Amino acid sequence: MKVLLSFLLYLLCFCVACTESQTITFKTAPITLVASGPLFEGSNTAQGDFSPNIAAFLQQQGLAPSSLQNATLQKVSLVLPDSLHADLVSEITLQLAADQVDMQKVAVLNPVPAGQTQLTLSVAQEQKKIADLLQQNKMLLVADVNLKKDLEADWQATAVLEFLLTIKK
Amino acid sequence: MKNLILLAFLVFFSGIVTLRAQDAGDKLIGLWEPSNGKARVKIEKIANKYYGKIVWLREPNDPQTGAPKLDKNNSDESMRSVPLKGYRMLKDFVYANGEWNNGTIYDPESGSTYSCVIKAKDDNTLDIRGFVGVKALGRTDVWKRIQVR
Repeated sequence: MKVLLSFLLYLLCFCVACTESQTITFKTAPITLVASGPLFEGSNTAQGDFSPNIAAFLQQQGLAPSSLQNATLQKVSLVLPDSLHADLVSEITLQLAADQVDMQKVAVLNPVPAGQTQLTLSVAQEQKKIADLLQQNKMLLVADVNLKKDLEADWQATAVLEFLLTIKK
Repeated sequence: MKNLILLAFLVFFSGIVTLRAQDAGDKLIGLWEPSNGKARVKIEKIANKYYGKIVWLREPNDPQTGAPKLDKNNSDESMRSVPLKGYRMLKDFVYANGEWNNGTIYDPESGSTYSCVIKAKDDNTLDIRGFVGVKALGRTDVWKRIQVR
């Protein structure tokens, strides 16, 4: 009986060791978000897209694309071209979407601090299907930008997203 | 050669049919008001799906704080600072077979999200049905188009 229990314990340890995971950070290249002007006071939609190419990133790290278990968005940084663009905005909400994955709200900044061109948004605690989003050919960034007044020109920002990937060893 | 011409014709024809279906779906785009008149929702198309966000509120400020209303009923506490004005309450609708489906509708008053299907009664009237699980277990609201001058 003792032998059997020891064997089961070893088997359990082996299984746990086999399913051990590690985490790595994946940071996107800067993504340009544009809301085409003329724009009116109130909520406007700025969009940008990018190809996550997560399989290539994992292969560069010596990992199989199929080893991606989970992903969470950790940080969203936005850079505005000048303080004029920053002062126009009262709040920003950011969503991610793809053709095969539903849109989800992932970050917000309310209020946008006056005069600052480098912004860090608060990231959502509840996140779903981020790994699925990263495995799409194209991911869409949609920012709802609340403008304090009308703007004749386009509104632009550059976003960088940082994801924490959980990798099956 | 005949087969090639036939194939080219079929590809061209199916392209036209697809474009027409997309155009028909675009009649959802515009400004709409739910039956309670508390808000106005602007529906737009992003990629190949339709989304609606609140652009006007009859009572934009929270009577308790005097500040603009926030999504205070969101189950995710970290997202409760999202303003209701600009809130994307209709998401991910796809047009097929004369209706917009596969989408969701968010009720900011309860913080609940429901499955939703949209049907156009005519060019200026929508039936918006929110439901849980099956369409029969739901509620329909009638939205009217707001003409923008």
